[in-house]
Amino acid sequence: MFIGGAVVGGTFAGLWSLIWWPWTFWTFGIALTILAILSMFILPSIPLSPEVAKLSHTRKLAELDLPGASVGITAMLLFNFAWNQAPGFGWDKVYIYVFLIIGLLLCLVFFWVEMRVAKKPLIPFQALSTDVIFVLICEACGWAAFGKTLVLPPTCAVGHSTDKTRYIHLLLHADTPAAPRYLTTLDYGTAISRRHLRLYRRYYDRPCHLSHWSRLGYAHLDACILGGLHPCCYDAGPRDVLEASLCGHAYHTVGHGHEFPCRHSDYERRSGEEVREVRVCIHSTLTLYHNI
Amino acid sequence: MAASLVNTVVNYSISIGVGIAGTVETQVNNGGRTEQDELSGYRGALYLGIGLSGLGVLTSLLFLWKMHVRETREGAHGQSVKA
Repeated sequence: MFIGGAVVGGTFAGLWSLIWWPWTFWTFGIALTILAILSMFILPSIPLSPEVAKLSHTRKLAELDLPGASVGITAMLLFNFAWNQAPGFGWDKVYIYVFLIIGLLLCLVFFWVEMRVAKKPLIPFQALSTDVIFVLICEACGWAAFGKTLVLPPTCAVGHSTDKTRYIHLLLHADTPAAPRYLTTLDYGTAISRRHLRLYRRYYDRPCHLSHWSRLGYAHLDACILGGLHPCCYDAGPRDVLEASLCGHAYHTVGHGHEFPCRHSDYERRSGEEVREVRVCIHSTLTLYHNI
Repeated sequence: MAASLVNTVVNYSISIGVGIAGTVETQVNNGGRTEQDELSGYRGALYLGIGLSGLGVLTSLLFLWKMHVRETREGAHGQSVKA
């Protein structure tokens, strides 16, 4: 289901973005709104326990622990925003550390609300055993370690995790520390790689063997080509989109695999022509990106 | 509640992990002007990942040890106290 959804969603997002790239996101919002409304009618309601069913609407609202939820969410939001804004814009920016401090203070307020104020707390801390906390810490560490892979590649790197699922990280960043990083994670097979192959041939005017492509399984940039899906390709013409997306492929041909920084040395072993080609690709992509 | 808590922790820690790694990277890479600097930034971020994974493993081991202690104690009493 997930993979199917990713393919269909990616394709339609790409097609819509042919009109105007923000449609990618607007259509996403529209689709989600429709699904939310549909789910109100389609999904069966949860059988409520008799004592809850008897409650009036205001009582139910009171049971929601709205103060706790709003304080908690705001705290998490501000804390997160500060941490993710700081790498690009610097910790010395006042608003960033102010947000961090407010976030931390609100976190304390949240604990106070949950433990002292709320009658039906959102997170009943009393019910959290040390076992649960252990598991949550474990989980948080693991996923945080995973999360850092998203910041890694500098220009354009491609990665896939397992043979079943491919995570493609296509990141672009300019040489300024303030440059935002873009990321796309797409999931699909090699079914549409032939199309990409054709485009590659047309663009580079040199053959490229399918076995090579299917072995790599890098059909990912087809989605970009389909509709300028990737942020680096926003509002770019077909040729530029192709160029930008080929950057990923070309990068790979000089040894930038999914293990990018570790195998960076492969770069040195390639012929001058190949390296130059990649440099041109990267340069044009970055220029494109700067223009956007 | 448990499911939402787990989900929140997963997504939130990914996001915070990215943030922390980004901070490490930009603090370590001297502005990332040269390739070498840039790489040292990524290395820093990767080392952070190693550290976090290590912390995860450590926590699991602690948890394992705790479970083990509890089980042996329960075994000694000859009954399960598990809720």
